[in-house]
Amino acid sequence: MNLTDTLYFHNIRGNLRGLDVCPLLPFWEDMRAKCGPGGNFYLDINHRFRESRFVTRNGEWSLPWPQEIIPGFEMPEYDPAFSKTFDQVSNERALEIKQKINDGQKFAVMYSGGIDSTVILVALLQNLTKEELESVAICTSVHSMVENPEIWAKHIHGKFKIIDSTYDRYDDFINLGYRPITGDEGDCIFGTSFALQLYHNYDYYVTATESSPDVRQNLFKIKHDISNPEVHFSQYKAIIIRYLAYNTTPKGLEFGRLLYEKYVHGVNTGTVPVNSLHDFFWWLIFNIKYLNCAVRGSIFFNRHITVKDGIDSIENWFSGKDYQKWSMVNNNNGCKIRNTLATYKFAARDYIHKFDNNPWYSEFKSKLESLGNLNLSNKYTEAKPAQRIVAVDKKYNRISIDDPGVKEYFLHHLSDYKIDWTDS
Amino acid sequence: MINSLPIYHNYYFDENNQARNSGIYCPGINRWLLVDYYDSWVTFETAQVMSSKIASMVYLLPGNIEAMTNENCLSYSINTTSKQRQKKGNVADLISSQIPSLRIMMTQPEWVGPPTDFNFNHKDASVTALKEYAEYVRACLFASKITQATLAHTDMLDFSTAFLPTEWTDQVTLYSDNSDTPCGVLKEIKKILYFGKSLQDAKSQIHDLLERNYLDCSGLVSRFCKLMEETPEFLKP
Repeated sequence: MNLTDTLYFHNIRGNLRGLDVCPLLPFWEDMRAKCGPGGNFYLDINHRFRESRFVTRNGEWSLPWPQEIIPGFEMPEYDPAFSKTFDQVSNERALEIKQKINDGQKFAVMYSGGIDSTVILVALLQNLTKEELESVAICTSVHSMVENPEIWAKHIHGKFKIIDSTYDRYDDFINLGYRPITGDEGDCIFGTSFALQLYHNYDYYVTATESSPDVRQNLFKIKHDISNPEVHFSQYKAIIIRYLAYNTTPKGLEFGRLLYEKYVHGVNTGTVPVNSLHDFFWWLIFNIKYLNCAVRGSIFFNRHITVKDGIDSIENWFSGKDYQKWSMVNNNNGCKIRNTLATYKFAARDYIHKFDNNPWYSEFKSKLESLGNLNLSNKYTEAKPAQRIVAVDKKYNRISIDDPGVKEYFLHHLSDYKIDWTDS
Repeated sequence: MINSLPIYHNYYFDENNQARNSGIYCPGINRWLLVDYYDSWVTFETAQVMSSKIASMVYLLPGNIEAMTNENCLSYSINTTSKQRQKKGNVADLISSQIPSLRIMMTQPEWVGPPTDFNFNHKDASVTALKEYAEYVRACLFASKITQATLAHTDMLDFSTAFLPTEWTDQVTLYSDNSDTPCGVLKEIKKILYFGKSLQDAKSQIHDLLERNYLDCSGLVSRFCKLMEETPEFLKP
């Protein structure tokens, strides 16, 4: 049994590629009965989100089990003086790849057609020579072509080696001699799509919230102030709690309140300014969901290489320190989002538009879960399917729910877990 | 039972047995782009063509949508406070793909006002330009479908692909019409619309295509233009 006391990753409820797979589900009721309010709260996180892979990089966010950040994925220090633009950071990131190509490496861009992977493509096209671009392949599926057919027609077709990603995993590309480049962390830089769902359904949540007429009136008044630093996120408390609740029963709503307070505790103990509603949701993904976005490819979409080798071999485009520093100082200035979800990732849209001059894409590109376009297989192996991987230990071993002692490990820690962030 | 309604009845008639209308809803701008009273499948194909510009959903609407019309639909959203909306309205869940899918709308659309939030930089890609483009696509598709069925019905490339074994057709040349295009003038028009940079650009390319192929496909080109109520320069006496 590989499980040591401290983990690098946990995944007690998996939800990969749309599969609602919960390895611990057969034991769920038994665990609920053996856990106190803390353990049950943590199980409810999985109930609400169908995932639980939240780990803090800054501020307090207690977990039932000891866990450390994987080296290299720590949050950089907040630097209010950081002044590089998104364009500068993107171009400099491309120059890093350029240097590696000139050192003899080859790259495969995981191109889904979404905004993040298009930023990667545009940065490389603008900063690499024709000869250097010969060391770049485009790893994609037919779904990616229809996300942005114009850029495909003008800049990809006939100009790059195409690798069909439909049946492959990261290690297949690595075995072909390529370092995959993924934009999987793009949402971390700009704020989570989880927030977009609230913005999109804003009116519903206001009317569904049991609030006084004054509170409701104020909520309607500040509807378009989602990235106004003068309107603190706490003014949206009623709808955030309703949104976080897993249903409208007293228990479901109480869970929403507890989770909101846990988030607020994390914000208040962190060292980065969080003011507006969009800041609040950005902080969740930039802070506690970052590790998941950074390493899920290495853990779940590989068969033949270790998690450590996957982490070392996959180039996370947005993991660059400058992107993270840019993200910390560019809240509420229109770069991440303006008043509505149509402007999400505005700095990235603008960067792409300056290159391809396609106003339709710039204006109307909708946020899709385009990662699925790549259709990477995550079956892993028959003996240890990805859906049953529940953790990675500090030796980078993948831990399966079927490994001896694993269920007991989780149950032991869940039963000890206390609600330690609120007195009420 | 002879008198029982077929299962697909609900896709054509609402619960009051009124014929359904259809519309294109764009979650990205939270507005209806187009409402159609004639043919839901043309609406659906319009949304497919428009997917190069914006991701959308096609809804079959109740027959009694009273206030929302094709003229004012840019000021309407789907019902923003309904339970149905809460369950299905998540932007990521609502559109899982750039390509549209079809759903039935049970509630009435809701007036929310013009989409003033969505005009930022680009005159050629404003919401109004998007609407005009969609209208033109729809008109082309109606004209194209009618022309296809009346004059271009011997499109053997299309027909044989659907019905004949490939080992038969591998031996012979397949063609759609007498044009210089690989898949026929009418399908080429759809491709131009899909890739068009602006309405002006698409119209210009379509007129060039029609003019280039007028001598070889005169009946088809004339019929298409007549249905579009357009008289390009080359057709003027």
